[in-house]
Amino acid sequence: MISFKTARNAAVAGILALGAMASIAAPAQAAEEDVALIKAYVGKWIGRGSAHFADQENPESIQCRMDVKDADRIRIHVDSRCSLASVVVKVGGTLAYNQSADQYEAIVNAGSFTGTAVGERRGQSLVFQLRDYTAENDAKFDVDASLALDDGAIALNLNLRNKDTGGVTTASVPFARR
Amino acid sequence: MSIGFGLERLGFITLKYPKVAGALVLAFTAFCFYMVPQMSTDGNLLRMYSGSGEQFENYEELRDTFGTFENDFYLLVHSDKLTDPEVLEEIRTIALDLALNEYAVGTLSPFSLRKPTEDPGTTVPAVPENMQTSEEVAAALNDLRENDPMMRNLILEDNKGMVLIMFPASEVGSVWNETDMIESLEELVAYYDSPDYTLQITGPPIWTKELLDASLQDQVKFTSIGMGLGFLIALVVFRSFWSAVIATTAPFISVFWVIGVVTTVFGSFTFLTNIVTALVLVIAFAESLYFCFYWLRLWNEGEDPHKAIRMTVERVSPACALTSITTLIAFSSLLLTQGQGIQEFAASGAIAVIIAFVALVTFLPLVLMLALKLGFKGVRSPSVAVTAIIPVAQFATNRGYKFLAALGIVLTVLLLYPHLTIEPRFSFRDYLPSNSQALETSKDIDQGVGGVSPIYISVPLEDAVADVTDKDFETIQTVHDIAESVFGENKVISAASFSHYSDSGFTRDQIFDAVGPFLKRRFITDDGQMALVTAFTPTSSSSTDIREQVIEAERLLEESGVEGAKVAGFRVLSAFASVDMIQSLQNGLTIAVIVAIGVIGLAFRSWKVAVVSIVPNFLPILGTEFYLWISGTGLQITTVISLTIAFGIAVDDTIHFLAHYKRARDEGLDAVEAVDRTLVRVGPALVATTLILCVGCSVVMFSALPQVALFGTLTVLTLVLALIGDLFILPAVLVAGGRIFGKVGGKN
Repeated sequence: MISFKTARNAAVAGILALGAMASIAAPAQAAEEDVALIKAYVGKWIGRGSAHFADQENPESIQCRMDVKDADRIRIHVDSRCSLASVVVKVGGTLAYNQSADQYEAIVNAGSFTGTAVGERRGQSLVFQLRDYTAENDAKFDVDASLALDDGAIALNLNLRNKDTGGVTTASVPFARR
Repeated sequence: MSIGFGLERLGFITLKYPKVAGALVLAFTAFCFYMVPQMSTDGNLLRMYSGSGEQFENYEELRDTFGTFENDFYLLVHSDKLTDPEVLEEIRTIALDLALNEYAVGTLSPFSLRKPTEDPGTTVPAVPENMQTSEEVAAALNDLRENDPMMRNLILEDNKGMVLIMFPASEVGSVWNETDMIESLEELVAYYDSPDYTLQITGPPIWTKELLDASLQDQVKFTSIGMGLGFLIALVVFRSFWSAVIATTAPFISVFWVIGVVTTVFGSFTFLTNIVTALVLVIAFAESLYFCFYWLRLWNEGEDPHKAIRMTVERVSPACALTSITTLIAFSSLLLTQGQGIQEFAASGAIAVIIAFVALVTFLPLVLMLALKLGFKGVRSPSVAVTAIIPVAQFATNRGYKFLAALGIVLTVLLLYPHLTIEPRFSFRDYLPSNSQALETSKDIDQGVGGVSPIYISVPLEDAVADVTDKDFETIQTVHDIAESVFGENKVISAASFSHYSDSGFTRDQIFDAVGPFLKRRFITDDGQMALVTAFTPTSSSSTDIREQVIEAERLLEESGVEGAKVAGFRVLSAFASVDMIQSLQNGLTIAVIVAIGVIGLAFRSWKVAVVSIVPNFLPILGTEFYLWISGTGLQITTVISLTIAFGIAVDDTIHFLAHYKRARDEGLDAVEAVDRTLVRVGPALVATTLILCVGCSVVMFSALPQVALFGTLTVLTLVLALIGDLFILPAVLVAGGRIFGKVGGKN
């Protein structure tokens, strides 16, 4: 005959085990859905927008291409090129879902600009507000950029403030699948 | 020593040690088959001119200093609605998207150009955005074309089209990268498909790809069709399936041996050396047919077939060796011409000739022995198709030898006139496929903006500072004005082009800022030491026009006192280097003929034989040159090469004829009897081999590449004339020579 103590210990162990399994199962499922949110944007994108240069009256066209590729289980790579004012600017980066911190993270490079951000999720939308930490040194511009993934579309917005003159250049490019 | 200088011993060794020879042949064949999948073709036209002399060095120097426009892609946009603001903006999108191509290092289009504003450091798009009406757009485009020299080369005069140029990254050099690059542009064109405009791509990379594709198709076509036709002719001649199969084996194996060796030695074929596989096929077929013909005739006359193989090696191989030597001389004469492309062709051709001979004296006897072992019994008299002309030749020689001999000599003398006066000619367009869409697009660009094919003048600057001093700027202006006087007003761009902006008060710095660093480097090097003036000429300009313009420009540059300025560019390179090559090739051909005649005299140990062989060997070349002269085709690189090769092949007939004639005279026959017997015994083989050669080369006439097609036509013409010469003129001269000079030909 099994003693009460043994049975009690077994029941507690079983409950704890079930509880542990449940706690593993629930976050794992949530993590998959979170990763799927960014993975849904894998593919080729094209965007046309406008840029408004400081000290210039009229905006100018800006054309961009973006390749979003699967990097690994939780990451995607973003590789983008934009053409404006006879110059081609490359923007690249990585977006990832950090399961342990339960947040989205982004690192984006554009020439001397490197921005990092934690993504703000609102339903199925995700916005990364990137700040240029190199602006804290001698760089000429303060850079603010946002990358928004929203309802199957991507939007890139850029703000550059000339630290000497205070002039602000803005660019806004909506992307659609190519 | 025999007339083959002992080379026929290779055949005797094969017969003496068939197992060893068989093993070696199998091993070599296995190696060559292993190399076949690694076979590739290099479409780089510059390879042809590499090492060709001063013009090539100038071009390399220019390319290293400035980069050139010569690998650029041109996207021609045609639209009747170009002045519609919405359509204009769509085309702007295309231009911006073109700049995003992963292979682009920069672009040049009306939309990539900017102009300075009164605000220092600020520039705006040269083609304004957000225009509202067609009139506004038309006025803007007209104003740009009038005042901006770049725009004149990018916007069509009737405002119905534009040219967008993409500069590929210089590391894109391999054929496969260029293929991917072209595909990416075709994808762009497909993406922007619209009823409002049409997009067409052209430019040197497209032309190179078309040249390469046509060249690859040619190689497969020539080899497979040539093999099939050769087999059919052998079937007609021998009237036996297995005889035809036997005759086909040596040429078949020769092709694979050549592919294996050329790929091993050179790494790849070129559009020129691609011809060599077709040549080895026809040469090997001719010799194989001749060999089999002789063997079957001996067998038919009652000889034991095994003994007949040995007798054939003994009697035919020396002549085949000598014909190989003369063909080798013909190819080797091309080595005298500077230029990697021609020299590789010469070396590949020489390899092919050696391989064809080795296959004939090793592989073919082994195949005959094997055929006999397997029970081959295929002895029939040759088809009447190859014997029908012999009685005609005999009749003509017997009755009219004086007339024919005199006719041959007189014609040779008369035809020297076109030989000495024929003009060299080169046109780049002749190298492109005749159905080239890219070429048609280039013609449209020529008509629309007057041409985008560049000629460069590099100018050393004295003060050599990055900001360009007034003195150096004046030098650039002088060269710019000279270039405009030669190549046309508004057809030249340089740092001195932007007078409209400088007249409006903009500084040189502001103008260079507007142009952008990438384009600025096409005008001035970063260190300010060299300036570049670029003239744009029509793609359709002939080499004669280009040469005249370059000579005039150089004269004016010298007169003006600008030191160290050099005119260069691919058009210049091809126009000058090609003419030099043609003249060098023509001299090489003359040397080849003289040396071959000397070798024949040496082989036969008789100066009289050498003299007798002059007319039948020279006449086919002179006759073909007469055709080139009278048709206005002129002397081109490919025509001289084809004359050289056709001569090398045509002289084979003369050697075989003379070898038999000499043997007949050695046996005591007089000139007439010896000629008669030679015509009967050798004539049908000559007809059959010429037939094979002509049919094989006629396949080449259907190439999409005009130069290759011309090669085929001229080779066929030369061979037919050579046959006529060997069946009618040579016998007549031998008979006439037999009576005037006594015995012609010494003993072995």
